[in-house]
Amino acid sequence: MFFLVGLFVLAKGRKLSTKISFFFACLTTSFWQLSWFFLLNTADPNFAMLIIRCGYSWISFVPVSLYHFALLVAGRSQREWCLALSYFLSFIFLILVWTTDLFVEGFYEYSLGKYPDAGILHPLFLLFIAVLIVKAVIHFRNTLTCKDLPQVKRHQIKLHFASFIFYTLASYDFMLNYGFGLYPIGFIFILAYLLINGYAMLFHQLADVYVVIRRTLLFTTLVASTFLIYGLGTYAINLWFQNKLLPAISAKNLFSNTLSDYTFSYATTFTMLLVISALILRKRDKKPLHYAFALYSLAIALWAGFAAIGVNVPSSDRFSIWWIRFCNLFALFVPPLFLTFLVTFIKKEKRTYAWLLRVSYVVAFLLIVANFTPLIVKAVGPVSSLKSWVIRGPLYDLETLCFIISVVVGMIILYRAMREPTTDAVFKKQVSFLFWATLVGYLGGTPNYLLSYQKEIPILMPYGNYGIAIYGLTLCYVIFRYRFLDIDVIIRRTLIFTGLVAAALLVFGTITYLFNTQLVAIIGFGNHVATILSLALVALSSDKIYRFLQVRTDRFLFQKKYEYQKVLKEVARGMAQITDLEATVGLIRGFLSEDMRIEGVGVYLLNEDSSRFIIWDSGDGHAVIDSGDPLVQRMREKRKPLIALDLRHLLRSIDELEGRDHSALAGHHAQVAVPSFVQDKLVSFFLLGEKKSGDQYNQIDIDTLETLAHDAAIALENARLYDSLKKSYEDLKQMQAQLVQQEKLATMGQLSAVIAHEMSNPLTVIGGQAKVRLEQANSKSTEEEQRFLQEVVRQSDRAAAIIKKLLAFSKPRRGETEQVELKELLEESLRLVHPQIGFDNVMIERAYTPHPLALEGHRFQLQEVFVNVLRNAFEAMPEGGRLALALHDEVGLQGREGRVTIKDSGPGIDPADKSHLFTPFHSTKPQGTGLGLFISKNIVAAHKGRLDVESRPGEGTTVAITLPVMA
Amino acid sequence: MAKLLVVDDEEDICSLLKDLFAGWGHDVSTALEGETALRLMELEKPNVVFLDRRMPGMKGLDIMKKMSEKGIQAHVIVTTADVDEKVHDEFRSLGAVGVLTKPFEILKMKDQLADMLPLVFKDQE
Repeated sequence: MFFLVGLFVLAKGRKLSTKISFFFACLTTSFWQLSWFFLLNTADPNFAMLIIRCGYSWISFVPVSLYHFALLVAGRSQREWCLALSYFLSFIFLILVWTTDLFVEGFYEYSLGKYPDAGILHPLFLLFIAVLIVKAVIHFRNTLTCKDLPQVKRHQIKLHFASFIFYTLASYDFMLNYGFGLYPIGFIFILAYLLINGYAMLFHQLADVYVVIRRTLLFTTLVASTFLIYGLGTYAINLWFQNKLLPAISAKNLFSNTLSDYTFSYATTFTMLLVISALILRKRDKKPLHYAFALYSLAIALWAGFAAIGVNVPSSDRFSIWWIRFCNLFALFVPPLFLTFLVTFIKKEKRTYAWLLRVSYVVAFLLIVANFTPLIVKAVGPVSSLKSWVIRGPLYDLETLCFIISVVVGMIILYRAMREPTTDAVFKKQVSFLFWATLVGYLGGTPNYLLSYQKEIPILMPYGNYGIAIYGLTLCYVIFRYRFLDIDVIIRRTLIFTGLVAAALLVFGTITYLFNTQLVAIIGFGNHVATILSLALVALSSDKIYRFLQVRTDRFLFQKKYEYQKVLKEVARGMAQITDLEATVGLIRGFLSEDMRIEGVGVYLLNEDSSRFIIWDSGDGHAVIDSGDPLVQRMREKRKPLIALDLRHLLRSIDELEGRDHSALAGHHAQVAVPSFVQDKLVSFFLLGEKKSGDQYNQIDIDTLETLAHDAAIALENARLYDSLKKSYEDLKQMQAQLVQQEKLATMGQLSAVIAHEMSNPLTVIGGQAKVRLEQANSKSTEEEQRFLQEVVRQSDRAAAIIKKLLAFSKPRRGETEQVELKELLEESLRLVHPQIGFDNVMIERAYTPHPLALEGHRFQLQEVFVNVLRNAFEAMPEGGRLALALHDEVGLQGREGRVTIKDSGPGIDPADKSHLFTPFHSTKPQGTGLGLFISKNIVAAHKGRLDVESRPGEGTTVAITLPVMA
Repeated sequence: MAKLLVVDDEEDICSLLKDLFAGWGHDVSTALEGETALRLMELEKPNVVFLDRRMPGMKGLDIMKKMSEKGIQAHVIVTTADVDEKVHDEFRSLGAVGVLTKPFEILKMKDQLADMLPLVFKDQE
């Protein structure tokens, strides 16, 4: 028993030193006890000695292992010298046991059997034990007096302390070594130790095996009950048939005669269909379809079950007729249930077939009643190799007829349903499978009726019954692949359970066999031990086996799911790390199209103002679905993926209702729509087309998609928020920059205004006086003087012009704004410039957007900008050239924008000058003020726009003025 | 040969314009602020008055108003640093015959004045 517990703990798998030491303690104790057990029961003296030595080997280590475990529980350090010494000493004792007689001298006989006799050094051992005990107690006390001990730990330690004390009491057994012929009750104390520790484990989480124990207990109970039922059943059948046990069940003569063939085929059918119907009924689904199918399968199963037994019952037996009658009873149930199932499945109007159903039920009822009279089954008698079968009564033919009619009608219904055009591919597949499977099943099953007519078709019977089994298997396939009745999970669990039971049986059988053959010779008994032992082994490993099988079946049946889950984990992790919206969507789309192999993936995201969903494409697909769209509403209602049938049905009905064209979606060939919710808000959804493999979407796929949608919801929302946050941040930065610029300009403006103002008067006087002097031109002034004075005037005039410009620019923006239309302003500015410059050999090209672009601004200033730029363009083409004017309508950060581009075919701007383009007072023109572009840029900036110049030597210059316009 | 009055709070401007116009053969008087200007206008009865818009005390516009109140008849040319056309229009609507922007572009001034008052300033030497 100790061994068991030790295995328990180890089986949990975690390699904590606590567990190992506990295991070791258990190990030593268990083997010790085991040895003693053998010892007490063996007759052979040599063997006894050997056993004694073995036992004492283990005993040597018992104290130390217990001490070690106690240390660990008390939380003390393992690196005690004392511990190491103890191990060393134990080892010495071990050597002593095997090499000398000093420790153990031999054995003696007493009332209960043999027992080891103490040697000379034995008391030393006892001393050793005593020391360890004392040390352990001290440790316990020290720990328990520690103030800051968590409650749980305290309980654990107290319990362990108690158990430890109990164990020490087991040293009582040592008394026997000294000749006291007492009953070795030490084991009671050991048991107590175990129990207390077990309690500590279960309820105070010592070593955390609570779950394992629970599961093991459960499993043990299950297995035990299975065996019980099997045992009882066998026993009962034995009893009833006076040991004429069903020969077919014994695996040996399975294929030796046809009776067993029949039996086996019936039994197989029975089992399979019973299981299927049980599974479905267990699902507790209220769907009528499920019930219909379950009952139908159950009827067939029961028919087969009774047949299996009935054919083995000799017809002389008085119960044989009842077996056959019951068999027939269920056979009578089959036609109406079959029809009911079909009608429910193909979803036709009940009324159409109601009369059919009613008739079949009535007839069936009548026949059932008649079944218990000799009218149908008159008697039973052997038919070919069967021990009993139906001997027809007068109405039997009626039964046969009904059966055949029902089958034919049913097949016709199925056939029609199969042929009927329907857009639901899933349904179509299901129906066709059902049709063929049922056909096979009935082809195999109907010849059973022929038996009643003393006709046995050679190959068809009994192997035809396997056709029914095939029917069952097909159903399984359909269930899995085509979500027929949705019970894949239950099947999986069943498979696992079956696997476990099979494993258990195997272990049980093997061990029983081994023990029975090997150990009986030595011990003289062994059956019970063997049974217990094997049960124990099975129970212990159940957890591991369960997990192993679970993983294996998962992988085998749900390989895709397993694969999906792996990839999905990656995707989820990826999504958690990426904040970029583009990348997140890319990740999702990658997973959907590459890993899940789906065509036509569309990821739709809710836009900024929550009014609609826009498809997020790396291309330029801009499919938009309104937020109020019925598809969206439906998703909001259901909060689950919408699948092909629902989806298309829904779309069709919507189209009919609203007359709206959903061709975008239909053209999408959308098979599935998967919504993503953040709390209660629908933030995105995926529209998915067909799977590349052409298969239907099964439950695994839907589950995976749901998981993905769930993970994606938050990731997408985050990414979106991050995205818009980034944009806002960029906007803010830009606006800040603009603001700073404007501030700078304002300050500069004020400064320059002041300067200009102050400067203008002195300047005027300089020039003025020079002019006056010039005009007083008389013989007094020389030519040189005149030239000098002229220069003075000229330069002061130039300075005056500059100052005027500066003053103009720096004036606070007085005046109201007005609506300025860009095209009109551009043309007007062109008119102003064109006659002024008067270049007729300039070709003007226009590319204007038809939309009007208007904004609120200072017309005068904007005109100055256009005039300035146009003038520059013309001045760049003195020999003529091409002037390209363009007006574009754009959507930018601030909304709608108008872009004016003025491109000339002049020589372009030297890169060296480019950097000084907007520098005030920097000009390449001889008489230029160098202020034109500077002022223009600032005016545009003041209107919240941008002025950009692009130019390369030899390629002309393009000036782009972007201004926010009214929507 | 006309009678001109230059009103400006800056003496340098006054003496400049006086020299310039005198050189062109006109009779020029100057005033540094409004009160003096109005008295001179009543005394001398000039043909043309050059008014600086921004002056401490009575502004150019105020002087114009006073002139119309007193019924003084003279051509008014406003000198201002303001380049805003709207402001110029405002002056013109108040009766000014023209606006000269400061700082003066000396070379152009003659032509500008000729445009405004051809009778007075055309055919200068």
